[in-house]
Amino acid sequence: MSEERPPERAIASVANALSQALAPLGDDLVDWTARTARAVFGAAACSIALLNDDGSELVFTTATGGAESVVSGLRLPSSEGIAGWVATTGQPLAVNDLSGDARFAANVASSTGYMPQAILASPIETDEHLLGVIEILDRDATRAGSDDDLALLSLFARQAALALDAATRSRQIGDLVVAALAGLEAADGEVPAAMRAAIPARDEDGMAELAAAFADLASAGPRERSLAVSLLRDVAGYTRERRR
Amino acid sequence: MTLRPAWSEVFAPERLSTVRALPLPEPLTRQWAFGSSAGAGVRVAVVDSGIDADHPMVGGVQGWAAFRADEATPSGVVCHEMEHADLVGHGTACAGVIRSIAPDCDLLSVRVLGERLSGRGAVFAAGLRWALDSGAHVVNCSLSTNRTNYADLFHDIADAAAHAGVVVVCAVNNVEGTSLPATFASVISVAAHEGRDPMRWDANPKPPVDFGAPGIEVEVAWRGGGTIVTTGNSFAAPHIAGHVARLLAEHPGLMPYEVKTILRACADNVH
Repeated sequence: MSEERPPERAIASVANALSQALAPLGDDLVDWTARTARAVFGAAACSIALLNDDGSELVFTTATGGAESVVSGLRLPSSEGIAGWVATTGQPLAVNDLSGDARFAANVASSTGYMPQAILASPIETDEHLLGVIEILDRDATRAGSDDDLALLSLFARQAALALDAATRSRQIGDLVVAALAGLEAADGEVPAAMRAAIPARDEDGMAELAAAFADLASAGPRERSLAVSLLRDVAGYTRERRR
Repeated sequence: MTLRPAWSEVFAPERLSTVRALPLPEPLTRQWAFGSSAGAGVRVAVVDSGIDADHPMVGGVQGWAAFRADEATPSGVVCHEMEHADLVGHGTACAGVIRSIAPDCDLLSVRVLGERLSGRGAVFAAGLRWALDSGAHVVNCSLSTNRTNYADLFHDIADAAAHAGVVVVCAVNNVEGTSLPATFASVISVAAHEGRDPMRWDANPKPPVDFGAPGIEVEVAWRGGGTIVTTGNSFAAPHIAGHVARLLAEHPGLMPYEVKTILRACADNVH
């Protein structure tokens, strides 16, 4: 027979479990996908441009081999330029010498400090929707099998799309859970109602916030977590002493 | 190492098939088919990202239509028949290739890319229909969709073009998979072959791809008045579209199936 737990502890437990299971992979996933693509193609750099929420812009993350190995933040209209053509047509494109496209070169150079000569670009998309564009800058064209790099990039982009899509869905579910926990009292609708039914107390004591802090710590190293546990035990012990 | 788009491997020199000549009493010759034609009087629509009319390799555009999605309208698409820019360079590249082969043809810029991402399939279809209704004799379509839910729509448009005698020349996607309307039998489907001689093309005895034309490391016009060197089936299709314009100028009124037959008979790998 299980011990009956107080509601706030149940909420914290649910939130903590969910936040670990649904931890957003986003930034790390983009960084590592770009780094991996760069290695696979023996490329000087790899850019991953993801659509923003309203689809109007592509936001670039570029991995190079330099000291500043990952650069993020360049934003371009989602239907312009080579990435824009790839995004709007859903087709890959290969450019062997970009030097005639001064606007593209200026954009890339200003954001990454790197000026590519050649580019392979492919859409990152699932069956349902487009997530962005991956661009391989100055690949090693002497590698065995490089004749088929358009097909290889297309496969790689598909795998990246599935991973990014899963991460996005996880984040959306996580956001929904946090919103539901934070707004159980005020919110209407079926999902909050289901949450109310499933969780017997609202987060009036800030337990969801505490759980969120736990989630952050869950992605930290073992030493940081050990330190946090030690601090929390000290706080709990101090609180018990004050109640006496 | 040579980067190859999908479908172009059948045109690699070591794999290129010999195509059987048509068993005609007299062989069709390029001299008969094309004479000294430069495409005069033939209207070629480029359904793409727009055309930079001022690019020196384009030399003017004779008709304009730009489409974009608009959910507030009944069709979901709006059209502006006015001069526009090419926000990418891709349509300018195609126009430059066509002009290099058929310098006297009329070019129509049908922009279906470059404004927004939503409604892409519907915008693409609307642009194709406009090209058919505008009196174009040839439509170059160096883009395709992989969305099978548009299959019926594009099939209807491709059939309408074939019945109206409009030759639709399509690039197949650079990777294998669904590529509509490029893989329909009613259009002419093109992939890239090696070599940069714009006057050479090969026939493929095993469609859906009908012809191979230059599209591997070719120098093409691009936005801003310059050129880039690029690889893709996109740039092979306008070579064939240019030859179709020359053919139709020499022999007005040919139907698309006749055009395909003559192109096949005059291909470089026919013996």
